[in-house]
Amino acid sequence: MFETLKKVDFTPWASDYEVVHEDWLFKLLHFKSKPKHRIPVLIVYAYINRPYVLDLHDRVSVVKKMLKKGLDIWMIDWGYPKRADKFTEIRDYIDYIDFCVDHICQQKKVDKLTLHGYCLGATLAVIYASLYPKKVKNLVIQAPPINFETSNTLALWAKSIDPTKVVEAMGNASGELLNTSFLLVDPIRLAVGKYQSLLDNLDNEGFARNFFYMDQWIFDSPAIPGKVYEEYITRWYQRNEIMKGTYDIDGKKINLKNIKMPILALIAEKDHITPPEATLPFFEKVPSKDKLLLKVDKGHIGLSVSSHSHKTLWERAINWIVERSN
Amino acid sequence: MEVLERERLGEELLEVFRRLPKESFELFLRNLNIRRYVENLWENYKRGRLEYDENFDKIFREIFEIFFRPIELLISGYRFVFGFIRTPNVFEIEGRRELMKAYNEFINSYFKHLELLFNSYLNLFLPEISRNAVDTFILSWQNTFQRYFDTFTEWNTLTESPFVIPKKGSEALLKCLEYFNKFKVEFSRFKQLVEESYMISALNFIEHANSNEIESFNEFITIFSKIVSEEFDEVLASEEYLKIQSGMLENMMMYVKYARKHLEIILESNPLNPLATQSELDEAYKRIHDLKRKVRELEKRIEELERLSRGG
Repeated sequence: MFETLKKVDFTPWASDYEVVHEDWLFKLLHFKSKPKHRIPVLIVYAYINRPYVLDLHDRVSVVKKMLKKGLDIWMIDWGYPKRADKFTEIRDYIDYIDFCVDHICQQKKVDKLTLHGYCLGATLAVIYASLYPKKVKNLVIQAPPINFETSNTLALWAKSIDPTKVVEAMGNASGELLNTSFLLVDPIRLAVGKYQSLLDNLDNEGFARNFFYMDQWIFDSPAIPGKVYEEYITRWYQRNEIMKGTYDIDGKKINLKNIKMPILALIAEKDHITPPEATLPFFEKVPSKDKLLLKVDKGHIGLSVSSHSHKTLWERAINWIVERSN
Repeated sequence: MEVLERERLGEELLEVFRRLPKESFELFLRNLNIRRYVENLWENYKRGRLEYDENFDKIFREIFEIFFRPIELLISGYRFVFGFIRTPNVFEIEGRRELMKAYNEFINSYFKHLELLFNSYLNLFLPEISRNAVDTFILSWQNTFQRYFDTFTEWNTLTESPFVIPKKGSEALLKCLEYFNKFKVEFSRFKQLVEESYMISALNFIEHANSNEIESFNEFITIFSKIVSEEFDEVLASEEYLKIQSGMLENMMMYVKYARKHLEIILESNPLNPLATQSELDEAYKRIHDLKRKVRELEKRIEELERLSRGG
């Protein structure tokens, strides 16, 4: 009965890379390739879940697609925070992005690069781009939560909790806590509907393989460092500071008017984590003259890993980057 | 035959467990059960009218066990921790001291018996020189420990807990109990709200099924999931739910905070305690992070100075 499940094998990271820098928790990865274009791409992943969703397996690897088009791809891995990382703050993430940008620019002898942020990584990318606009040639934001004034269940929950109490008790927001919360947002579809489909397709090896690749990624949840959790729930979700122009890093205000570089936004219409309204007001607000918004009729994860997104959205998205990489 | 079949299934499941994430495996198994209960409902439906029965309750338990468990674990944690540190009645302890002595004598006799048995084996298998060295060391070790233990049990145990631990420890304990009681109330409300919502959606499904003709099992389970999902979409975003969830979470976290604080104060006030508490480690981590940021700042300044000195 369980023959298909016994064959499940999970080896993410479809592309080869080397770790070029490590800073206790954070790592900078460089994918091996022979780039044809001058401007490198730095992918800033979210600090929730793991970055290999963009290089999950051959058929749905965004990284592989980018490499094939001759782009030079670098990626930040925020690691698995432990109790010892409780005092890591958002400013440390921004500082490490800056370190990586300088490192890459020095290596590649360029003065700016393409910054590609994914989910909360896109929020970090927007903050970085507004602080250091001269170092960002192109800004790509994938499923970006920038406007937190949304009505999806997850946002309502985030607005109703006191993150300080969670941090005082637990130190970090643990991966298990996050997993349970994400399931509870939509318990019947995620804990029943999805698995009933699996039971219907138990003999289909391809289905089971894709299913468990996704599940492995979904449940591979690093903790969020306590101070980061406290800050992003309070200042981003509850006070919507980035949109209001009151958010700062080390006293430096985040001014969205600085986002004048070419910007590409990739959003999923059925995204229940980052709904389109988390992006659209921001996208309309930034003064960039070279803006493109691509949508796909999928959910938050489907944007990266569905065959439909790869056929329709990613081809155009990568071409957009390539056209601005020389 | 049945036993063999069960063993084979157990081995198969263990193999699958090794390959899947823990959460996927649990949800997979629970959904096997859910499928069986929905099949029972489908059979009942085909036989005539669908009614609320135990299959609906079993489905509920399978769905929500994974959500209730982490919270229930905290309640078990409470039982464990407070069972361990609870201060019993002083007379009870004094009465137990006699019992402890008797128990000690019994254990000593038992050790002597084991020693005799062990020595007889040693005589059979070990050369003379090892036998003497082993015997001598073991006897000396036991005597040392025995002297220490006897002295220890002669003294009165410190049982007047409120005066033994620092005042802050007692205050933390009282706060912990206060938040635990609030948390228990909120958890019951949370569970009740989820149960009621499920019950409403199950009744809506029954009404829908009985007033429409559902032709296949697939359609039956799809409609069931859809009706229950829609009910939960509404409930989970409702003001009532948000209030209960945040209240439960806050009280749960405050209970954890003060339970740990109480234990930490007991540990910190014990001069024999060899362990650093979580708060002490946190303080060290904080200092390390502050220093790291200062180092990074200095590195940046040095780089800037080097750049300027190169005329950059």
